[in-house]
Amino acid sequence: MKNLLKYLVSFETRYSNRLPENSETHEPISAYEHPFGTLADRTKRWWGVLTSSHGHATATYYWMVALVLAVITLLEVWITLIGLVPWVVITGLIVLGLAKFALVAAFFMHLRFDHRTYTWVFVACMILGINIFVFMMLLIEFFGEFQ
Amino acid sequence: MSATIKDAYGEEINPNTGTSNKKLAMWAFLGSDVMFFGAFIATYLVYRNKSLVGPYPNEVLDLLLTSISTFVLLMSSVAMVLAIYYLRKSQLGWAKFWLLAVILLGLGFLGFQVYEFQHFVDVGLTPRVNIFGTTFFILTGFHGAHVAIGVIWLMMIMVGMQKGRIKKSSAHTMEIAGLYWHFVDVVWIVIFTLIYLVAGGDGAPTSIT
Repeated sequence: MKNLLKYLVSFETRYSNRLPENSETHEPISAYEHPFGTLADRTKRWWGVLTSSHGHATATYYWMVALVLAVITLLEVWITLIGLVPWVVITGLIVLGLAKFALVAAFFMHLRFDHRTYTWVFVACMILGINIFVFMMLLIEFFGEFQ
Repeated sequence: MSATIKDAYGEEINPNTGTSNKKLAMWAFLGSDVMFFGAFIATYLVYRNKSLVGPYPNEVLDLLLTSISTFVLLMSSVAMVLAIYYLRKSQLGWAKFWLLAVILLGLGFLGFQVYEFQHFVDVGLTPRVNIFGTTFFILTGFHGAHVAIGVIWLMMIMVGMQKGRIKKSSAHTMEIAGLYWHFVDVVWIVIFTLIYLVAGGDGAPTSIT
């Protein structure tokens, strides 16, 4: 964990006031001359380190995901109970539910680390499942007669 | 037909596709289960607010109790990944510890569900009383059945580990079971969000109040 933190912040510490340089000419790389500097690159690297860990996540990493899932669950219950406008509550709950779904599928079910084929198989079936869901709702709404 | 390549964890990779046939089959099965549960969830939502007699969701659903059982199932997913993680590292003691935790948490979740069902029957909600009871019991009952099957599967893996049949070189077996277990968790995430949080406050339809 300590090494991970050191790795993540080392670039910023060493080069905080300088643009990355061309290794041969030692000239600043002009592509980084904008208000965000190397932020995009660093964000990409953070994401890579945090989510891939060279193909195998660590136990600490799984605990971090679990903590996020627990916090999202608490948030869901909280926004249900504080009495917000219904459409805000429903939108919030669906977004948070999708976030939990994605976290479990990507990290606990290893889709993030595994061959892409598994993701495509699952996503294809998800699309079919969502279609069944939507068409059922539409059929009953427009053609169904209750009672 | 080309021979498969076996990795250190017993995963047989098909060189033509780069995937494991067993894992691909499990993902295809999980995909079919998405459609299965998708139909039940849609049915619940289609008949939402259509019960002519009570009890209604806002009279019987207990958000606190279900939040706790949801947390229990989420933690079982964490225990599952840790069990696989330690088995892959050949730390059998920890792998058995976390697998036992998954089994106990799974049984705990089923206990919550049995308690909830019993409470509903006590207050007069059965599958035959109204459309809410029918759709609710079918949806959550089938999910509970999935959890029960998962618990039995994990118990069999535990026995296999005790007898030395499942170890690092066959960790893939547990990974497949893990996929199923996480899927059951993912389905519950959807059920909890839609049925308990979004539609949990439903009362009697306005036309009959």
